Amino acid sequence: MRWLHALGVVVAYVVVAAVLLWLDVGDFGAAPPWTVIVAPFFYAVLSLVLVPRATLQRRLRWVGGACLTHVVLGLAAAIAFWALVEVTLLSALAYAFARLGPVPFLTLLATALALVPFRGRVFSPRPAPRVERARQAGVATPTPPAETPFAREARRREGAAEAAAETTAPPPPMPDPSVAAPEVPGDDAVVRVRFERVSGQLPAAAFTLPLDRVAESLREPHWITVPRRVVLAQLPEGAVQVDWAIVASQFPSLAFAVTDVEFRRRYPGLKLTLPLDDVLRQLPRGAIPPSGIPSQIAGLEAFPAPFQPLSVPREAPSESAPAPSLPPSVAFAAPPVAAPVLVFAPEPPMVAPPPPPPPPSPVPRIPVAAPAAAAPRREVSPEVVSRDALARLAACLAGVGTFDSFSGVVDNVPLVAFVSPHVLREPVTAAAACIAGLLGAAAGEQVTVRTARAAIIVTAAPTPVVIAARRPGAPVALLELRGARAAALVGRAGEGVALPPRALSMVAVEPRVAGLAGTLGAFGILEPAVLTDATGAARIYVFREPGREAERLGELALAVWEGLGRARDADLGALVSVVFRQGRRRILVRSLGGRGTALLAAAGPVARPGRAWREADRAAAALESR
Amino acid sequence: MSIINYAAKVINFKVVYYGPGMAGKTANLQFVHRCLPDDNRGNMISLATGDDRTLFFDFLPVSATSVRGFTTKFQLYTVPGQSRYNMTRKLVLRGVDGVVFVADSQWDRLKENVDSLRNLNDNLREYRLDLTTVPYVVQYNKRDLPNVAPIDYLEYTLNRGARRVPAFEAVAVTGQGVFDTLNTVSRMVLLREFGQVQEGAS
Repeated sequence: MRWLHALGVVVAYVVVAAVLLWLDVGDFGAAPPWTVIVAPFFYAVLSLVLVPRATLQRRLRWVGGACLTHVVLGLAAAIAFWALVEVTLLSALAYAFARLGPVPFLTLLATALALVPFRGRVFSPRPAPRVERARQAGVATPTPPAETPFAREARRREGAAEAAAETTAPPPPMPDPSVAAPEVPGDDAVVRVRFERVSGQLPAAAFTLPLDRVAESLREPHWITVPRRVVLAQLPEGAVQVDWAIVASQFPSLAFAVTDVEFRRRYPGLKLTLPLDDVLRQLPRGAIPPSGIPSQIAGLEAFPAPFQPLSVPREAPSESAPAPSLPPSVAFAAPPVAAPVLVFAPEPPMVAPPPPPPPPSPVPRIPVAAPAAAAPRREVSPEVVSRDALARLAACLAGVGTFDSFSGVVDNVPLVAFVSPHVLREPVTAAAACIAGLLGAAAGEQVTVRTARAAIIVTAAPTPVVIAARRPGAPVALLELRGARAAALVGRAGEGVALPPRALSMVAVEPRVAGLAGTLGAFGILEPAVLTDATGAARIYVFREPGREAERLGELALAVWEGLGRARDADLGALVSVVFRQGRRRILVRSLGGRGTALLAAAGPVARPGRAWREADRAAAALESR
Repeated sequence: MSIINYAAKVINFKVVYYGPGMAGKTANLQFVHRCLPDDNRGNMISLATGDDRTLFFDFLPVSATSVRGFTTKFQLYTVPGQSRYNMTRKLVLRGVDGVVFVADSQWDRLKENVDSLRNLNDNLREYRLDLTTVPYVVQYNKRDLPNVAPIDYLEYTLNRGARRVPAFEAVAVTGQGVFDTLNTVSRMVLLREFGQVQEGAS
């Protein structure tokens, strides 16, 4: 329709211009020369009216398109003149652009009229493909909000009464996705997704407002729009993910707590996974072409069905029976897959006589051979959260990677764990159970354990949430954010338990060690201390804020070392560092090489965790070289 | 590759149930095991982890009809669906005669279906096989759940190659579609082995 409309405008323009020339009624003199120059400025002003919400880049593109249309219309008129009267082509061009007074003005008007139907495309994040019109039902129409959160904030400051009314206002109603809505003209090139369905994948810390209020400030409030061609290209993959760059422009710049550059640096490769059910509902009928090829079943009728089931199946095996005698220590064993190949030969003896008649017993379940039978026994119990809750927690990790989920009790600690397939689960849950007990009042709400081969993030909650991924390469900061979000779904953590007191004594601080406090600038101003235990076997270099007790940090560092660092885990590799998070405060513990137990513990308010980690790394290297 | 014992007049076929983790491959075999007469079934062997995830494979030998005087026996295998066990999947695929691809119909498992199908094709290629030549069928499992994708879209993602294969909707835990799937893939295997000639089939 848009193109028909534009074509109609062009034809009408050419006819009117030709009539003006033919009847000589348009001989009102030559148009002033500025009519040619003024055209771009005219369209620039016009763009403020026709596309008021477009970005500068898109506005310039629109003005360029208008100028091009202007030239095309003038050329069309010139060709018409050339065909109607006996003039040269140059004269015809002169008539069209200047000499036939009313025609240049007519060109300005016709250009504007021709471009009016294409306003919607300017709002699309990218130029939309020319696709057939969607007549698909199910495109819900967003309701424009009365005001943005920013305007609301301003109004809230103006009067308490209005603010109260604002806070009691009901939330905007969620549209029923099953209800069909009329198609919005000009919007058929994009797919709309309710913001609430993807907001869980965004880093909340990167925004100044809660995400539910950011939704109101989107370019289309409560909706994210994605070019349909981006969606169509990924349909065969069974999932549609869009790069952050595609949707970034739909967020108001004031909503970001960080600059665009910083955002991209912090969250590289951020993608939003779109809900396919919503997406498919909005696609035109031909988007998923039915296979025209019939199924290959020719000739099958020559053979009767080989298997005829019993009319009544036997009782279901062992699901309701008592649990098999599964040794607790092997429940999560994941031995290397290549090792038992000889036991389970890929080519079974197919010509061997059939096995003895099967007993009517239920299906035997052979427990996995334990590769680490000597490993400490761990208590394993059934799931500690429901399957639905587990699914909700897993949704917090959407787009970050692939994880195996687990919920259960390990060493008397209930856990929910999401472990990357590249990392073995049992050592992760064992380490998490060990470290989770330290969380709470003593050490904060989250801890990140880095080993040579894994990053383990444990977030305090009634049931602590564990996320583990392979190191190096794991997006630790993003996983920390998602872990915090998932833990918030589980509930508020308790205060934790206090660490057992230890007999630690201070020794004199060498000038070289004292000088290292200045190199840990990311932690703020620090005071050094050196602690030893009663036997003198353990030495802890503590760098803490002025006024804080060094002994508390020393106790925590020793507890970490005794829990995680002493026994080097063959699967996870050596312990590298442990970072506790208490709001903005970070407590970093890492072991130092050399004989005996030597630890570094640094604590302070940290704005740049990466820098703090590197500075601690250098300080540790300096201490190790002593 | 079928194995023929001319002395005993027995021909063995290997059918592998393939698919992403938790799609219902083991559930298929368990239902088959529960529903076949004792004369037709052997012991089912499952190697599972503590949370019932298949670790190596499930194995169920079943015997079927006689064709051309040969007793046909099918060795039904499943593979571990979890991504880390690809070596095991490759090993189980060795000598395969027919494949059942068990897909999870839920929206949030579609990507894993596609990845698993791709992985199946990759693994078959290591044995110089591919999905255009091996008898195989697709089973869309868990159709009883509320959050399942429409069949049109599942077909589009999983069954749109040059060769379109039979596909079945199934609920493996209740048995819906399980024997349709098994019988179809078995007949495809027999057709490939014996061709159109069916003399002797009983």
